[in-house]
Amino acid sequence: MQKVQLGKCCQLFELRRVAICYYSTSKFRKRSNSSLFELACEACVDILAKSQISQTEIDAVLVSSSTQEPYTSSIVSEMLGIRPSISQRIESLCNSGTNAIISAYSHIISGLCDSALVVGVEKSESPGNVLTWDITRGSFAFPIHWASMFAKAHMRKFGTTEEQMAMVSVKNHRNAVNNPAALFRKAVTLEGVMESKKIVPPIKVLDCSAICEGASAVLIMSEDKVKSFGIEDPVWITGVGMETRSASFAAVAADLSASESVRNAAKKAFRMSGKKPRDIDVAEVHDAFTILEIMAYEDLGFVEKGKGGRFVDNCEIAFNPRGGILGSGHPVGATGIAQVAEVAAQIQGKACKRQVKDCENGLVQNLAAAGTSATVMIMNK
Amino acid sequence: MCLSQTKLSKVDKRGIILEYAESLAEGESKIFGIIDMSGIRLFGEIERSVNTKETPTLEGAEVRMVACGISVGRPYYRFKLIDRKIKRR
Repeated sequence: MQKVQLGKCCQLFELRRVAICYYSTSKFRKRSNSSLFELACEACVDILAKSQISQTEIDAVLVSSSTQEPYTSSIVSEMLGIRPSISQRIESLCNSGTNAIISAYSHIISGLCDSALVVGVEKSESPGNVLTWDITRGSFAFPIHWASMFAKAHMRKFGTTEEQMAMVSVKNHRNAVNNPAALFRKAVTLEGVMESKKIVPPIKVLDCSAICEGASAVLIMSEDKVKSFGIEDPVWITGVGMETRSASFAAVAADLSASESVRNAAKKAFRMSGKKPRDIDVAEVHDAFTILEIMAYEDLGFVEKGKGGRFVDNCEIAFNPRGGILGSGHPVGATGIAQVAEVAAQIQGKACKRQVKDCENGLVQNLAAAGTSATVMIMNK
Repeated sequence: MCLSQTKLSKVDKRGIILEYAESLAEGESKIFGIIDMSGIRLFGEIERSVNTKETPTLEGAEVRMVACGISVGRPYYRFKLIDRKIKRR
């Protein structure tokens, strides 16, 4: 059991412990002939094979995706030969994957189930790529439009430079070289990023992540199940924080240089876990655009507000060792799951060439639609 | 039906540019920004007559909505610069 403080309450609650036990991320690709369901099953079948856990032991199947396909979780369950008590699809744009894991976590701590298979999957043509539902965005419905606003505001207010943003891209593409699942496995240079095509200045092509297809899955379990299966290296989820401020960009705070949802989600997750930013060894943060990683350093509390730009190549924490979204690609519904899978692998010491030394505590931060919603998770050995 | 605070009210067509950028994307070469109109924030196009080289900053400048509507299934809002003096940061 884990004793935690939840929300604003000072009372200590005793919760069942929940762990990430197995994970798998398929190769992210631009496009393939595989259906959404085939992609989802590829990652899940790999987990079932690795774990040798029978389908009958899985109580819940949650699918994270922005697809328009109906009844996805039941279809995936049937294809995998699982008859779960709980079968759900979770959709929250880019934030879907982490939302799905927290939903599964909630089912387990409540005692509704003991094990949950969570799979995130997306095809390249996902409707989650365009923000058409938000009429306050007018005809400017692509994420790059709001990302440019954030970048300009941060540069004007704090003196953040285009080179500092470019360094995020250089670092994450360099990390992705060692990630076999990454869409891009080629390093880029600072000059290469700076000279890449300007789309909405200051944002250039190599400041942006790329839409792609892919799937990632995790199997999470209660402490009782972890013990009964004799799992030796579970990664415990010890802090979770979520915040939804709004759906429309118009309702985002007037200060475009910070994300309130990330700040509040981080406060909740750190409070619940009892950890501080200085305890974190490895973090996967949402870097769909380079400016977002700089803002994440600040809003998560790793560095003082306004100093994120100088923190890029001057920090001791390993940020986005799998290559982040910039290097790995962005299959919307799979992204959050792949982030959690990477941090779990790092904590288990199984990240191969990407392995960060002495990893004990990890953090995942994910967000959707200009930071209108965000999730932060803290995981430990 | 909506449980959020929603009301119809007459607002001034004038607003302030909170932030702006210039899109160089193919087929969409436009200056756009987020405009605050009496607390309502909208993403809209800022008329091309603005020379961003001569006017290095537009944040805080005053604009007036000159058009809005629906085109190809998407809403659009268009603004014209009326005062380059910074009103608010």
